[in-house]
Amino acid sequence: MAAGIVPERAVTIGRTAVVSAVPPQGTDWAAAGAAYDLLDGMPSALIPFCNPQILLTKTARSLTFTTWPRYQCTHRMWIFCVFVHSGGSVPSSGFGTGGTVGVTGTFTFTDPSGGTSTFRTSTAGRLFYHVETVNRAAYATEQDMTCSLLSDDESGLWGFGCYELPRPSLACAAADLTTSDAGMDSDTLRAGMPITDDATGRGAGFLGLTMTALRDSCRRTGLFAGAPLFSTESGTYTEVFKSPPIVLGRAIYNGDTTRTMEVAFYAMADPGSTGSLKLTMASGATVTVAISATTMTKHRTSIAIDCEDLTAADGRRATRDDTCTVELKVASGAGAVTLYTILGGEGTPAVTELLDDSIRPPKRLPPQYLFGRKRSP
Amino acid sequence: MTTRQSSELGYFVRGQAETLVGDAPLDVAATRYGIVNNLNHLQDEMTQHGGNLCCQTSPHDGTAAYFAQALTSTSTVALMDGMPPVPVWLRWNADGSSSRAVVTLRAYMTGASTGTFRVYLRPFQPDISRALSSPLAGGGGRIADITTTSTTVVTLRTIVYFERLTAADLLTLPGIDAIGGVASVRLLLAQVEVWCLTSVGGTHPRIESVHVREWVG
Repeated sequence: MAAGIVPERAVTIGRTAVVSAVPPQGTDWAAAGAAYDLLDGMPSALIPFCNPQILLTKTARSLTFTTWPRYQCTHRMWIFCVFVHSGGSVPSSGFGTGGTVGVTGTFTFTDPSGGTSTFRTSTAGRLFYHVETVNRAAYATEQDMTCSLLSDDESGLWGFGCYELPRPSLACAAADLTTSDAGMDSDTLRAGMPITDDATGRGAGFLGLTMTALRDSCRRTGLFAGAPLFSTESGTYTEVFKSPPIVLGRAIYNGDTTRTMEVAFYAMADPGSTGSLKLTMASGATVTVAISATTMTKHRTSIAIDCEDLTAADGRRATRDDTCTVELKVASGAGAVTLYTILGGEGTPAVTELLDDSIRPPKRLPPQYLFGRKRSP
Repeated sequence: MTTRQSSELGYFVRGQAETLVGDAPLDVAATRYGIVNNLNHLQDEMTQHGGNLCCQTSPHDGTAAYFAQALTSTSTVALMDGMPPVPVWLRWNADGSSSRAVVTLRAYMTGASTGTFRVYLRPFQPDISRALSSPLAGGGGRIADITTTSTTVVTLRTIVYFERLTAADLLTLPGIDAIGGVASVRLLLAQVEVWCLTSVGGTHPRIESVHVREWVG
């Protein structure tokens, strides 16, 4: 069975042969096919490593994040930093530098697909990992991922993240990246092969057909995450995080200066009260979301963030980080409002996009060629 | 200096699909150029500045600093108290070097002295029986120091990376296959730690947040 082989390294695609009057398929297209498979098989950071500072007990605690996974992902790696601390307080000594010798416990994690792992913990914090075998039959472009955490002693969860793992090879089925691997078989890119093979769906034409979907699939899924379990009874906005997270979106089209960050968070207000969550970007955008649910409920919003500045070596715009300040307050009533988890990312991409006037051939090409159609003189 | 090397246009162009169906002439250079440009651009966007790997900021507790350390000797090197190692995935560049971890700290000193934060990139250590060894003890990692005298919160940034890895380095770097057994070595799995040293006069370094993203420079 044909398969798309994901290269281990980024690919340099030669451009010298991509000019008129040379065969449309050949060595350069093999490199292009490899680059396609590299992009297709690369993973996303679903939940960037964050610091919940949650105390785990013998009662299982669930954390739910809304994420936007890639269909191609078959395995995810969950990573935690957990340590035992008796007495319900943060230890005075750091990881690996002290703690009460001999105090150990266990910690059990259950992933969204039902797999579990149990770890032996100690007072010296360590990284633990769990590999989830993803149930792709349940794939959706937006998924709520709930994981369960359980400890037989008082443990602190001081690190938490979820990353997709790369694919070594991809099946060559349909050309839809949301329903199949859509790998690229480089054999169909050899010189002399059909440009588009109706039987296999491959050939150089496949690259063009899947280009827009690949652009969407390569989005930056997770830009920031947190599980602050932050609660306030104040009627004025209170910052949720000690320092605001830094985010930076992709620059995709010519002239882009911003990108839209989708934000999903779980929050609730006490009965009889309502709350408000406010996001403020350093780049200027602000959005507020009302919270009226009295049980933990998902809320959605979006906000404009900086995208990369292609003229800056580090990609930052205006030589400053675009930070996202997250604030919470009680809008009405005497109760409290609570923020459980929050995650920001590029979200689910738009499905359809129309052609527009931004299409321009490179200057060095003859002007009569504009994307496959000769202009009339 | 711009950061774009491989994508000449520096941005994605639309319209490739429509020119590649039926009898559309694929050998028209503009169409083929567009595809190559787009693939290069996506490689850039996926690996150039990359997505965030870590946003290690704590819930706001009102007054207390998040990661703190008390040092009384200028010769002491200590892992920041309570700061877990941050797992990072580094990609391979076409030339064999690895991508870089851009580490941004929000930090300050509690008094008038100089503090140095030592960002240490080393292979991922899943084995809980091994204590974290000091970056002074080596271990195949890479070090970048950031120094500050500020007593108010400032943003400090540095870059650490594995570049031109030797065979010995490779032996110390677990690939995903060594961890999960599901893929070959397409990413390097490492971890970032922040240590501190050279605190003088009884003042101490504080870190409020750590932010890590990958970057292929």
